[in-house]
Amino acid sequence: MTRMSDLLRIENLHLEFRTFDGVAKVLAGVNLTMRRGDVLGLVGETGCGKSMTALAIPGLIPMPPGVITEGRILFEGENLLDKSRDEMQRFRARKLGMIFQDPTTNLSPVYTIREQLIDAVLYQRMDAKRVPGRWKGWLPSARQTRLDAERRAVELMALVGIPDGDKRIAEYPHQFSGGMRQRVLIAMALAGEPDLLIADEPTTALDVTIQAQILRLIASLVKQLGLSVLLITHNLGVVAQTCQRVAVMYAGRVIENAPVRELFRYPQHPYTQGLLRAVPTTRVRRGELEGIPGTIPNLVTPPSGCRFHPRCAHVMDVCRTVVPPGFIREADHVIYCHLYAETP
Amino acid sequence: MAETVHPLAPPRPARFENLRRGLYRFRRNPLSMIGLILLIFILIIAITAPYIVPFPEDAAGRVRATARLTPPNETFYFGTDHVGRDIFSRVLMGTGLALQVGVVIIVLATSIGVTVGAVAGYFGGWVDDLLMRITDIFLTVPALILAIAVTAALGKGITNVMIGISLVWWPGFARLTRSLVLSLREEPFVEAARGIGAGSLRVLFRHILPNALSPIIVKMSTDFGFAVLNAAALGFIGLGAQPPTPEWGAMINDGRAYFPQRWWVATFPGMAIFIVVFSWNLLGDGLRDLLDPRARR
Amino acid sequence: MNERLLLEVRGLKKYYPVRGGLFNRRVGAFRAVDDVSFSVPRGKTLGLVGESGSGKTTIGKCAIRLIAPTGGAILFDGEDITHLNERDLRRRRRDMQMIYQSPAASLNGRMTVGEIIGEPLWLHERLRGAKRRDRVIELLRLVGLKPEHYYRFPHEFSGGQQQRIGIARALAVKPRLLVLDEPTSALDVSVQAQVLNLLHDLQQEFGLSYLFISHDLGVVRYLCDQVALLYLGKVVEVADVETIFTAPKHPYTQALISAIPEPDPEGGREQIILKGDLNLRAPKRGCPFAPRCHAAKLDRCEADAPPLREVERGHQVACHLYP
Repeated sequence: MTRMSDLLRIENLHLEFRTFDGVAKVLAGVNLTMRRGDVLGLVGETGCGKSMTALAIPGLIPMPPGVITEGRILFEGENLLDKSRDEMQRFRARKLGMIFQDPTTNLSPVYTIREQLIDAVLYQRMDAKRVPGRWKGWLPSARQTRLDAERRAVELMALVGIPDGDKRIAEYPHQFSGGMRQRVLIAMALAGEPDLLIADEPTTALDVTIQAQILRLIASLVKQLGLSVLLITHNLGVVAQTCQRVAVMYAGRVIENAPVRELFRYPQHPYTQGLLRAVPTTRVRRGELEGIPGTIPNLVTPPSGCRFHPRCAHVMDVCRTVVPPGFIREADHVIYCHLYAETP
Repeated sequence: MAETVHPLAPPRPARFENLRRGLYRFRRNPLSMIGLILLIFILIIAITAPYIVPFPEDAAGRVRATARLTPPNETFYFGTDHVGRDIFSRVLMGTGLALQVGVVIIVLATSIGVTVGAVAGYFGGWVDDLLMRITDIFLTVPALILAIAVTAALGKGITNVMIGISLVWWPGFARLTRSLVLSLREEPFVEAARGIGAGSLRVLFRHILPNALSPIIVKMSTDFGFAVLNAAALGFIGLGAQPPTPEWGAMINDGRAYFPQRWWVATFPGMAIFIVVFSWNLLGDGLRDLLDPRARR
Repeated sequence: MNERLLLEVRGLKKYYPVRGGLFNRRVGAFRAVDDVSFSVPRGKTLGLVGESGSGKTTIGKCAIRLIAPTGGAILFDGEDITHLNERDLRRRRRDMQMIYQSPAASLNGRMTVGEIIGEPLWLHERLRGAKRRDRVIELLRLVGLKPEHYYRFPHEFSGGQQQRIGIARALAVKPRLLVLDEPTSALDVSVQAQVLNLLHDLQQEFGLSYLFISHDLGVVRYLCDQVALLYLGKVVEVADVETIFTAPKHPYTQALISAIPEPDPEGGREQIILKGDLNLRAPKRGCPFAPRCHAAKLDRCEADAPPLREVERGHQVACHLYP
C-alpha cells in the first residue's frame, strides 16, 4: 500500500477529547499523504482540526483529555503511534522541525539567542541526556562541544537570513523584531536537519510585508535543503503563493485534496467553493462577497453523515446519513462529497 | 434596572449552566469536598451546640470543684479543666463565637480593603499614591503586634479584638483588589463601557468589580481560617473574650500551666482551631477552581 | 468648515513619554501619532491602513476621544470636540461609537446580552423595563441574532455572533460615526464575509459614516470609499480606494499591496520584498520609510521628511518622488 516515495501518510485518524461537555470528535477520519519535497498546505477555519492534525504527528496532543481512537500515522513507513516515548523524542529531534504562530512566546525571554540556539543544536544532534549544561562550560570536552554548536548556530542564522549572526547571537529575544524572532525559531527547527518541517500558522502574527519575507525564506529553504513542509494556515492567499498541494479541512475531516492550481481554478467541494467566494481580495468589489451561512458545528454533537450538510446549498438525502468517501477527479484531486459520486 | 422576563425569551439557563460546570470541577477535587463537608459540620455544631452538649451550663462558668482536671472519660469526653468544667462542652460552645469573629473580621477587612484598592487602582495618580502609602504603613508593622497594640489601646474584649484584627487585615485585600483593578482597567470591555458613555462609578462597580470578584472571594475563604487563628492568639494572651466565655484561645491559655502532663486542657481547643483553619483553606482551594474564569468552557 | 464632512481631524498628535534613568524621569517622547490629518465624509467609509506600530488604533481612539490627544484638533459635525469636558463628552458619545478587534474581550462576561445592549439605552435615554427590552430585541434582530439570545452570556456565542452583539450595542444609541477597529481580523473568512456584509447593509440603511481601521487590504478594498495609508504614525498616501489599488504612488503602498498573498496561484504579481523590519525608532530626520525604501533614493530622502502633498485631484502623497 505505502509507496516508497511517501514521506508521511496519515490514515483514517480519529482523535477525541473527553471533556465535561461530552466527547468532542475533533478528528474523524483524516487522510493525508505527503511525498518527499512536497509543500502541503493544510487549510481550514478555527476548530477544523488542522492544528490537531499537525500536533498528532510529533505526538504532542495532550493525553488526557485527548485519545486517538483509530488510525495510523506512517512516517517513512513506520507507524508513529506505536513508538515509545524515547523513540518519539529521538524522532522529533532528528526528523522533525516545528514552528508556531507566535514567535514571542516560543522563545524564553531570560536567555540569549546563543543559549537557546546552542540548546537546539545539541538536543537535536545527540541524546538529550548527554547535553552538557552551561555550568559545565569549563570542562575541556564540553567546551569544545559548545564551541562547535555555536559555530553551527551562527551558520543556521545565516541560513535563515539573519545578518550579523555572530554578533546578534549574544542578544536577547526582545532585541529582535517579530520577523527576526520567527527566523530564529526556523533556525532552531532546522538545527537537526529535519526531513519534515511543520509550520503552524507561521506568519499569522506578522505584518504583511514581513509575512512576504518569511514565506520567501521557507520557499528558498525547500529548494536549498530539500525540505518537505506541512504548512498549516487559515489564509488561502498564503497557500496559493507557497504550496504545491492543498488539503482543505472542515470539522475534523479533509474534504478536498488537490494540487494548488487545480484547487483554486476548479474548486469542487461546496465548502471550498464557498470559502473562496468569502475571501476579500484586492480584486473584489463591494457586494461581491458571500459568506457561508450558518456556523461551524459543535464537535460534541457533530452533524451525521457529511459534517458540512447543514450549511450546504446542494444537500441531498444521502449527505445526511453517509460519510462521503473520497472521489477522484483528475489526477490527484480527491473530493469527499456525494455530489461527485456518479460523475465519470 | 430591574429585568422582567420576556415572553419570547426562555428563563436564563446560563447562570445555572456556569454553576453546574463549577460544581462539576469542585466535586472532582476531593480535598475541597472534605473542606466543604467539614465546614457544614462545623456550622451545624455552632448552631446546635447549646442543645447537644452534655453540660451547656459549663460555658457560663459553673465550677465543679470535685472534678478538677479529670482526664477524658465517658462523662467528660475531652476531660475537665482546672475548675472542673467539661472541655467537650466548652469547645463545642465556642464554635459559634469563633465563626462570628471570623465573619466580622473578614467582612470588615474586605469592605475597607476592596474600597481602598478599587479607588486606588481605578483613579490612579496621587489618589493611588496616597492610599497605597497608607496601606504600606500598615504593612510595615507585623500584623499580630499591631493588632495587639490596637486591641490593648481599645481595651480588652472580643469586640475590640475584631476591630483590631480587621484594621490590620484590610491591606491584603487592598493590594489584591488594586492589582486586579489595574489589569481589568485596560480590558477592551472597560473601554467599551466608557465608550458608550458610562461614568466612572458605573464602570468601576458594574464592569470592573464584578470581574474582580472571584479572586477576592477565594482570598476571603482562605483568610477566614487565619482570622480565627489570630483572634485565638489575642484570646490566648488575654486580650479577647473574658472568662468565663468559652473562647478557644483563652482555653488554650488555661491549659498552658498544666501542659504536658494534663495535655487535654490545651489540646482539644487547639484541635478545634486547627480543623477550622484547615477546612477554610481546603474550601478556598476548591473555590479557586470553581471561580477561575480561565478554566471556564 | 466643510458641510460634506462628518469628522475632521487636523494635525493630530499623540506622544507617549519615554521614561528612564534615575527616578524614572521623562527622557523623551515616543511619537505614536505625529501630525495626522484626515476626514470622514458623511455616509462614507474612510479606511485607515497600516501595519503594527503605524498608530492606526491610537488614531481611531483619539478621533472619538477615548484617549486624549497630545495635540491637534478634532471636529465632529463642525463642533470642536478636542477639549470637551467629561460631562459634555459623555453626552456626545452617542454620536460616535466603536467596534473592537477582539469581540470576546470587548464584552463584559458577567453581563447578559440583554444587559450589554440595554446599557447604552439606559445611559442615554433612561429606558428601562419592557420598553428597553423591546428595543434590545429589535436590535438583536437588526444584527441577525435571535430574541432568545437575550438572556445568554457572551461566552456562549461564536466569535462572529459576539461581534454582532458588539455592533448591536454600538447601534443602540443611533450613532452617526462608527470607528471599526479591525472588526473582522479575529474572525474566520466565512464569518468575516457575513460581518462585512452586515456592516455594509447597516451603512446603507442608516447612512452611517465609518472610520475603518485595518491591516488587511482585501477587506479595505471591499468596504472603503477612501483610504489613508499610515507608516510609523504618519500618513503617507490618501486617495479613493480605486486609485490606491490601481495606481498607488508611494513606494510603501506599492510594496504593501504587492505583499498581499492573493488566493490565486497563477495571478503572478511581482512581489516587492522590503528590506528589514519596521523599526519603531524612526530616523530623527528624513522620510521615516527611507531605510526600507526600494525606490530610487534621493539625497533629500534622508535629509528632510516629505510633507503630504496633493499630486492629483483627491490624491495626496508624502514622497519626494512626487514633488
